[in-house]
Amino acid sequence: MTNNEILVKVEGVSKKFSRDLKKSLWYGLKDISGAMLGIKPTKKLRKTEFWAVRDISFTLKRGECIGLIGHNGAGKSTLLKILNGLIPPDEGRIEMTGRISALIELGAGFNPILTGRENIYNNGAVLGFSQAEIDAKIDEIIEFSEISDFIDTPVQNYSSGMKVRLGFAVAAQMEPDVLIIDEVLAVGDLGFVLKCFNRIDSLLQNSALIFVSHSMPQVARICSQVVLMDKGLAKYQGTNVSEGIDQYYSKFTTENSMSFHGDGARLQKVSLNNILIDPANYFIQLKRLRDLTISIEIAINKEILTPEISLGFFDKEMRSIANFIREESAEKLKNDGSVVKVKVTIPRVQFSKGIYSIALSISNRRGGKVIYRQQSIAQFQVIAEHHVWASFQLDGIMEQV
Amino acid sequence: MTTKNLKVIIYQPNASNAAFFASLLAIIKDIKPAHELAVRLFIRDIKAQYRQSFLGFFWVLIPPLLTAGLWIFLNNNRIVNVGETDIPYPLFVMIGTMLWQMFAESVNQPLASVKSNKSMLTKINFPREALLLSGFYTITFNLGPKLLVLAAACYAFDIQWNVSQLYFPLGILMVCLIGFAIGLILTPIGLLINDVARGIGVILPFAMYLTPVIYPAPTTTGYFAFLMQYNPVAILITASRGWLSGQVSSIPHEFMSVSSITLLFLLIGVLAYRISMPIITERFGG
Repeated sequence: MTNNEILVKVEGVSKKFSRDLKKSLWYGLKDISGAMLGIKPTKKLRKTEFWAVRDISFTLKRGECIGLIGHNGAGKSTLLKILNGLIPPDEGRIEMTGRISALIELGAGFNPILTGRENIYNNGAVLGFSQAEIDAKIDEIIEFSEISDFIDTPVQNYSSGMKVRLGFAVAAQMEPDVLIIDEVLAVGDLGFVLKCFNRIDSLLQNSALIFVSHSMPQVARICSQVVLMDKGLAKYQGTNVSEGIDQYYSKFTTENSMSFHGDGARLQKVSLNNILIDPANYFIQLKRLRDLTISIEIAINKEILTPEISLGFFDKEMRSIANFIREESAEKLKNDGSVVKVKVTIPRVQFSKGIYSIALSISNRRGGKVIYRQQSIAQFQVIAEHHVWASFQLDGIMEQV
Repeated sequence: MTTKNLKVIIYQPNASNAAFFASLLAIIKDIKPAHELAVRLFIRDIKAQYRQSFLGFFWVLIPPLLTAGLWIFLNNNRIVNVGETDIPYPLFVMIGTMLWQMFAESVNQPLASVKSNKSMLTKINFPREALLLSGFYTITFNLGPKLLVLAAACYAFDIQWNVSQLYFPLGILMVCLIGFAIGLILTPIGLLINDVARGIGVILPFAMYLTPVIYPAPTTTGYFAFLMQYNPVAILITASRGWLSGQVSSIPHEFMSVSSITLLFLLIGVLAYRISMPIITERFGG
């Protein structure tokens, strides 16, 4: 087997869509009649149309994986449909070599009334397996799905995770040259997701993989190149996966939340590393392992003499990943009735690549009741070389002893 | 594994002048996998349908039996007078409604088959003709109980075995195919616009009364007789009924011409379906 075979060649592919349903149907009727009569369709945009995919090109060899990333509606799924041969491109050309399999929807062809076992045959047939092939593989499929106890139960009684398991177990039997995967691994429990990835890893050795995902750790883990799509265009394209992921994350910062509860305090000013955070400038970038200083100015009700201030850190998926609480004695932080100004310094931030938000919480005394809480007072993006699953990447040294 | 055995697929903007020819080749190439998938889908649908039902087959028979029963009642009580028939009226109307039901189901089947698998169309690349084939297998399967009823009716009315009855299967085939061809040609538009399915639902029962299903074709001249003469379904049904009851012993030439036109339209329908499916898939979204 040579590793230099180009299996996928995409050249300047574009696709247009109509925003308006009635117009879209009308254009559809016109296109159908045009296609019957062999009339070449117009390349120009018609009224209400826009380019859902614009001028995308890449090549992919055996053993390589390309990640298509971008926010919802960036054109990733449309591009996948074109690559899968479901819809033709309006411009450009795609050349695919070998067997193509797509994991776009797991469990296609399932009928809820029928049992898991029967649906293995249905799903397998839709994916192009013959009856004999499935007969030969059925035990392996059931074992992989880990739901053998329920295999003769109607699929309508399955949980969505179980359906995904069964669907993936069938799809995992494919031995494609080109594999297209779209976001299907989002469901299912962690154990199964890892199992799926092991299977994909072993498939990847012999195939070219096109991977769409919103999970950057997954993309970082398996992709050798990425295309960051925005409004149909490739905003970033290249083999520096980290760079693509950084750009993806920076598109994703949202304004800091203004929502809070409690009226004993009012947040007046936040700065990160001496940069003032305001609606126009709501996040900063920070190199990994650099210091982060958080300066906060708060007006607190003057009856609260010794307020307590603490911070929480959340990742993009809104998981709480770290807290900051004061270690000094309670009396050291006093409220004299004017504005309370504090500065928190966090040395050598060990967060991994990604976007993080800071939550602020104030109580009337240490261990007392919360008088103020704001989920996101500021955000920062950690820039790093590597992309890892966990939010924390510990700073340490490994030595051979 | 080397590149030399791997097939290369090219996707590019459609609509070249060779679209028809290329599509025809592609359809022929896909027949075998399409058939395999169609059989699977057919088994799936039938199993699911009957597993969730106690009366099962009964539902295939109810519509034609009710129609037949109603007209036998109306005619026996002289509420309406459909005129003289060559064979006993109950048998006449029974054969007629069964044949009409086969036709009506065939018209509805292609659109229904494709629509019920809509979600698959936007996600999976499989031979699209499989949906049509599985629809056709369903029609064939549903013929079973109808033929049993017809056999029982023939026995009850003491119809003698006759060589011309050998033509009857051909009649059934053409009745189904003309329905299927009509349904198929409407399918691409029907997938985009819901009005088509509704329109079929409204027009079909009405069309039954313009076809000699429950009354014999008028032999006199006049506007109505003219209509009967050029109603292709009327030609097929009349000939088929004649064969089964032993009244007609050859293939009428109108039957031949209607059949040829049906086959031609069926071919056009299959091609139109293949060519329009990508365009429809893109409008479905999802």
